[in-house]
Amino acid sequence: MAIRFILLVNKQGQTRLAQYYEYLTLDERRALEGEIVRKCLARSDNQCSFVEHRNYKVIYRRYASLFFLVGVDGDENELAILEFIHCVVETMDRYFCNVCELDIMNHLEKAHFILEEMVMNGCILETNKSNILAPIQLMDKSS
Amino acid sequence: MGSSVMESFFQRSLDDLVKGLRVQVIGEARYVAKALEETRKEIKSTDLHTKAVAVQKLTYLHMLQGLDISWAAFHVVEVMSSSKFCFKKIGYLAASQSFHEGTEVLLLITNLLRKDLGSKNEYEAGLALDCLSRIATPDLARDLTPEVFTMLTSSRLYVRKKATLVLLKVFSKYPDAIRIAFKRLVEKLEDSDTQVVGAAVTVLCELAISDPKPYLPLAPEFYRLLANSSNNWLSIKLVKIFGVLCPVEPRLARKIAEPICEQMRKTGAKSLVFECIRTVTLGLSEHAGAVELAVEKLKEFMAEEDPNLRYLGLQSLSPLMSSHPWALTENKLLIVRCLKDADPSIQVESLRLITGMVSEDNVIETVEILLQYARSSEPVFCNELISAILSTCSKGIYDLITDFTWYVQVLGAIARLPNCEHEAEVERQLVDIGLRVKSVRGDLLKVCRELLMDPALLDHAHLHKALSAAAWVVGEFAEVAHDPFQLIEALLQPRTKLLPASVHAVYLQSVLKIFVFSTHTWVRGFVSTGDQGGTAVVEEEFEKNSREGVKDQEENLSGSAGISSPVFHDLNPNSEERIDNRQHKKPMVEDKEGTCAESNVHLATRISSRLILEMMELIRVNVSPLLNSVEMEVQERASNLLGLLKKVQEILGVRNDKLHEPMDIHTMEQHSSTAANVLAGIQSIFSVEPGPVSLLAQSKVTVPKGLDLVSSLDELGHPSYVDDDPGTEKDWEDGRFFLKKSRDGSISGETSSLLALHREKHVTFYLPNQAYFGDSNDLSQPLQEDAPMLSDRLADSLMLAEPKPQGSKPPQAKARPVVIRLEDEQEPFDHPSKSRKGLKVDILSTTIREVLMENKTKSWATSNRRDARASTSKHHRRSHRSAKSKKHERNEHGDVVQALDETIMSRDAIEDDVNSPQIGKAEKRSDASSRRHSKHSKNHAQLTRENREGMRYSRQRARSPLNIQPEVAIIPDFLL
Repeated sequence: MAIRFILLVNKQGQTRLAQYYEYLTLDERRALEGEIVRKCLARSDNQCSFVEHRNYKVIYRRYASLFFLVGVDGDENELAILEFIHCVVETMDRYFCNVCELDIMNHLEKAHFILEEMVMNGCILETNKSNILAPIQLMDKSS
Repeated sequence: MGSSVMESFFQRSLDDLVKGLRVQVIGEARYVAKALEETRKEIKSTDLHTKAVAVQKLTYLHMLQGLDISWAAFHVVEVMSSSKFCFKKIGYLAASQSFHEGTEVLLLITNLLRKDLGSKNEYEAGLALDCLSRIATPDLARDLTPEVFTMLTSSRLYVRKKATLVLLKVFSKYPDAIRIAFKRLVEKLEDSDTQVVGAAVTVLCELAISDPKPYLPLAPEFYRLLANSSNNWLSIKLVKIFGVLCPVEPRLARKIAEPICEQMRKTGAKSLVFECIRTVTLGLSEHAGAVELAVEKLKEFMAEEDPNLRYLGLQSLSPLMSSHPWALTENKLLIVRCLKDADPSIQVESLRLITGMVSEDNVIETVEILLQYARSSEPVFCNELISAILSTCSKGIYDLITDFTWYVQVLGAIARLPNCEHEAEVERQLVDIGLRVKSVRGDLLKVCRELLMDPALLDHAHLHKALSAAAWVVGEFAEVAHDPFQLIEALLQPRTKLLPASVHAVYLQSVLKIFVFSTHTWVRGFVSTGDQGGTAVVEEEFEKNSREGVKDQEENLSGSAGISSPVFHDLNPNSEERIDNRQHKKPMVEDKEGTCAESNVHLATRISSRLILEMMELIRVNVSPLLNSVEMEVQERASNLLGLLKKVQEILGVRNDKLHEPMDIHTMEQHSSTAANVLAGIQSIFSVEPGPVSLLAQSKVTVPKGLDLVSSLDELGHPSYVDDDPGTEKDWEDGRFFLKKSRDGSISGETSSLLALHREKHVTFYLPNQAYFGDSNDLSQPLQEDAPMLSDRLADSLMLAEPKPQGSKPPQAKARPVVIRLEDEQEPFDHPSKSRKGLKVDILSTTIREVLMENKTKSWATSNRRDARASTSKHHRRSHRSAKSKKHERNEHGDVVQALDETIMSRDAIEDDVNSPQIGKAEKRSDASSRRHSKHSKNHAQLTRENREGMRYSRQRARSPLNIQPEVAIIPDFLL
């Protein structure tokens, strides 16, 4: 399994969206999120976007007030994951029109759906924005 | 009904919850608790809408607030089974977030999932597949395999791609599914849609990473995909697959090197370049061209502004460290520059590379650079640097170091670094080098003296350990000291009060040793000058010393007697310069004194009677207050020291009275001959030289016959530790028992007799019918000196008992000073460490292998059928092939490579087509293919198909020799 988890965290370190592709107990999750978020938020812009934590490699990227963190296996391609994060942001941007933290908070299920279209079982499934958004837009129309 | 409408009307939606959480004034925790209470009520509602919203809110709270919602699992299932898509979606999201293998309701949802997987609505099926990929248990995977299998051929793209990807989970939970679905998965590589192909490649990539071997036969297929891929995501996966396949099949590596390089050259995507580099460093490191290109690209990465690229560049260099050291040395400047990067991770990576580059030739230069950086960097990284220096230089038994004088100075410098946290290691190495490298002791002593003399260093708690080592060194190797008085002064300076008791005790012990050494030397010198007959003996002694260089301490001491002999004065005319002209030395003594300051003979000590007198006074004044120390260790040593001092003063007739100095000196000199014997006796106690101890010492102890180490000792009860014989028991506890054993064979006989005696006395504490260590006397004698260990050297042995590093190489023949190596330190880890991977039977891979083999039979059958239709060229190819097969024994992988060759050929054909310059695309294609047709009587489509068939055909042929080891016999002809 390549991607182990995806986290969206704001500047204050509050989790805004969490998606795990392996089972962790709630305590484990809380501890992991706390440690990783602290580590990543402490880093400055002129440092690289990769942090090794326990057996994960965490790749993060900051967009305005939101941090996107992706935890992966050791043999995953870091640059590809960075591109993937960017792709997620662009997709959300297209769907929400200039996505911001509030959009994700208020439309959590939509954000989830987008992620589910893009990643399945920890593997990147789809990176074409129109393909990703097609079903969700269809659903929006029908409801 | 009415009530439920009301219910849902007044229910807070998820939006309300989120917004409320942001504006709440009662505190987040209370707000969440309140919301949870509400939701608990709502979720029991009969109205599905209310229930669904409640579940949605719970999912939110679970995900962001970390609330446990396992109690709501059944409600989640209810929502999942709703017929309305919008509710179903909420239910599935909640399930995939909160369910896991231990969730009980999973038993209930098999049918629900089955129904949804078969749903006409592709999005419902998608939801179910998503959910399955999250929560699959072995049971669920087993029960739903048929559904997933059918979905693989669904006409709807959306379903097909998800079903393909879900196979990964299904396979991992239920390996038997491979038999059913693997073939179809492989077929998906040829799917008309690239998304499905991508999903299939992803699955195979993940499978291949965990065990690459079974997927080798698919290499030609992967190659074809890579050659035609226009999607970077797909290319990355494919390159990654080759990265894991190449190490298991070198011939594949040879084939794939060039295409990978081409990808690297032509693509603009850094991620793809990076993946190619990684594949080259991991799997293609034997292909010079590929490695050169990769290193070139890495160089670009490291020179980039983007810290990400710099980091990855450095990281990817490390696999090349051992196989292609030039790749590192070539980029040394870039790497060193990264040491001062703003990013600690980059610094650490570059440090790792630099330490990997260190060799005997550049160790000094490198360490100097690192030290320089250590002085200017942040505490954390500074310590990384220090630890890197210490571990690199002490690797083996200081294998890299030829200039120990330089290295002990480095150790001194490290100890002084204000951020140093590795003082324990500095301590260990100072002592260790002192023990192992005789020729450096003079310089070591100098370094230690400087550390001890600087009163400012005593303030730093982190330095105390290094100081303790320094104190021990000056005490132990006092014979090479130029100025014992100065050392004692340093060891007794007032600020030593700041030291912890354990270190302070070492200080005092060292004072004792230096004092004994000095007085003894003085006495010997005095006696021998007084007795003219002694000169001849001394002279002889001296010659012996200079002949043999390194000497036993006893002999050194006799040599020291020669200091004052006028004979040597003439021999060493220059030595005057070395003399430390202390003002208070009597001219009379000075006249007589010369220094035999030859570097090999560690004697440069000139000690006057007045000096001894002052030394005694100094010790008396400074140590007396310590008799009242609250620390037992300090107090005891202080009283030992003073007791000895008093005794010596008594013998020499010295009074503690400054006024009578000249008289004292006179009496001292008169009594010196009496004192000589006493002091010689005491000195002999200290003259045993401790040596390094092998870590393996314990393993030398053979388990005596009849000693049962396995069975429980509980029945024996707790023996009480009544200690009548402190010697053995204490040694045992300190772990010094083995020290003793390994140091000297002769004493182990003694010890065992002691043990036997002890055993006789305390038979109840011993196990029955054993010989304990009685027959373990066949220990080797790892030390070079045969010196008996004396029990009153506890303080020294505390340090000695520390583990010593292991060495592997025998001492080098060059100018490097002698470093003591224990015989059993040669190749200490030569016990078999080969991995037992081969023994591990991986159920997944065996099944896959079986399935792939089956595949081949089947596809061969189809290809036979196609054969009938195929053109005559086929025949040509086959006859060609059979001719070949007559010549060579085939094996599976050879065929894979051959098939790959064909694929490459066909691609070359395509490229030929593309390269032909004249006409438009479609025209060109048809034109070119017809050209080919006329040449080889094949058209393009046929060509590719045949390649594939050829591959299957060859796979089929490979079926029988599969039982033969696949990697044996490389057949060069195939690879041409």
